[in-house]
Amino acid sequence: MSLNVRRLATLAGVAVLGGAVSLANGAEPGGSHHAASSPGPAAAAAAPAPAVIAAARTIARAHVGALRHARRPGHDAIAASVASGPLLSGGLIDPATSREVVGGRSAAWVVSSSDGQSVCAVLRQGAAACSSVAALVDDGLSPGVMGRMGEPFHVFGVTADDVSEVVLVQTGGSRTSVSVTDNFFDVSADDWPASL
Amino acid sequence: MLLTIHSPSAHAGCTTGGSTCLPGSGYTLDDTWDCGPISTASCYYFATTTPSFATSTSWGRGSATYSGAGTVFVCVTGGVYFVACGNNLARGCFLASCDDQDSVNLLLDVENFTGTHTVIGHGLA
Repeated sequence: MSLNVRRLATLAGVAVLGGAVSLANGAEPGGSHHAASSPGPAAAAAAPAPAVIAAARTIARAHVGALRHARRPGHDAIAASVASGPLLSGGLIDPATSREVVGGRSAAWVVSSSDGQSVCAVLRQGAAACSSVAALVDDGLSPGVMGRMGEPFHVFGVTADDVSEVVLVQTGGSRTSVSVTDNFFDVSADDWPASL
Repeated sequence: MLLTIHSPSAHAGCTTGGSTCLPGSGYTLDDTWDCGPISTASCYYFATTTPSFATSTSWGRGSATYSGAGTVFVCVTGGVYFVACGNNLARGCFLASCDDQDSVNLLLDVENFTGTHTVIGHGLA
């Protein structure tokens, strides 16, 4: 498999997964910023109040069973090299909320963002994808895709409790049913995913 | 458009980590960019939708972030080497460890797939 960025346009079907609330603290802490416009909304984002964070986490736990499980620190903690590494730099997630999950192709972590407004899936293979809690509740799904040259795509995601199966449709039209375990799935795809 | 380029915020040669080094092994460049509102166009580092004007470097980690209202499916793509996508935020790396790499120069770009929005790119090299 080789990646072809032009094929990304075919993923538009996945984008029907809409939601109502944005990632409230999605600001990216870069060393400098080059912009063709005035700074985007991320630059003005402010961390929500603790009560707002707590409320969002309560909603997330209510809909994502993996986040309700009693936490096993030695088992559910994100590996130190990942937690302190560049993938999660900038305080993206709250490591105290992580749960290890195993779904299909790989093990991963489901974790709340540091501002509580999002739920993220962190793959051990070096990728992370987040959705707002509201989008996850509304759609039942927080989708993610990861690709690396020479490897099949990972099509992965976090689901709400009432979702037990996801159907992956690839650009060639093939359909694959994917079982969800612990609110998580990760399936290999040789072709770019058209929709979930 | 006025571009201001700052010096890398970490010392070169951060191969063993340290308090002055960026997260992960070896990173010396930490930068963000955006092209303003984009629809289906890719926004390349640093802040151009024209690939021939883009700057390639040995990117090891990239991210795409949308922080406005609603949900936008965004992707960050490191040439033909890696891609990561998600709702509002996606991060991906050249290596599974997410450490720096110095073997390949590549373009880094971000995209969105719903409407017209500003997507922030963030790269480490």
